[in-house]
Amino acid sequence: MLVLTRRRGQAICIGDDIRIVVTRIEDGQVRLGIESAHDVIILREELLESVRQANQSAQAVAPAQFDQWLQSHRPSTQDAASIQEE
Amino acid sequence: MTDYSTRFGLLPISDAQIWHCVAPLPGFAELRRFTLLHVQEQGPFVWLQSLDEPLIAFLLVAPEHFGLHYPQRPQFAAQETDGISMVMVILPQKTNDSLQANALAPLHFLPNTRQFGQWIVEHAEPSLTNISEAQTPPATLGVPIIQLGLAHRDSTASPLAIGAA
Repeated sequence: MLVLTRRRGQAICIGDDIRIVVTRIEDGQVRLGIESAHDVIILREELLESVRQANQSAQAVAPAQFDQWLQSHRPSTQDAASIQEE
Repeated sequence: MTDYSTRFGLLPISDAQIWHCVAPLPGFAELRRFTLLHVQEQGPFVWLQSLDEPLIAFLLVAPEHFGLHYPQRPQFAAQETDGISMVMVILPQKTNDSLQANALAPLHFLPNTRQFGQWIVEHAEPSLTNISEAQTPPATLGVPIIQLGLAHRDSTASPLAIGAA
């Protein structure tokens, strides 16, 4: 990993299209400004990680398991009759 | 037609039924070819089945079923005038619990080009549309969806108990 030291107001460039500026350093937090092309996706790492985990959970759904869930959440014949009566 | 192994067995799938992933799914970036499968008895839900990895399939539904709405468009669909969003469904650990949606990462489908991708939003907006009566997947996805039937099941789809995301 490349490690650079920057002060407030200083920047680093990645290629020709991405510029990252340190705009504030305060209470152990660094605020960054990022200039890049519109189609470059920039995400907080923890958000990307939570989506990775949610995707893993989503692909763990087995068709048979979902069938079972659907069956157990269908209204019973008795429930259906009482809904119709209302 | 080519036969592909899927979580639903070996299925003949034509080129017109293949969707190409242009904005990869985080955690599954290597998977690029998918097909959409609809089991009639499962109402509005569809399966996004990988054609590169037979064991991987995602359950999807229109975000409105979870009371969600995505007014923005992802970058890869910026030039398109059509398109439809779906969300991944996560099955709860306990049978009695509600389904959950992967609300921060909807998928956007472009039926004209059969392309789709996943994008990440900071937050989803509540839907103003009530489609709790809908029993089928969005009609705009209808053409390239492969319909499957389960002969041993009741054919009537009943109202679903879906929880908030």
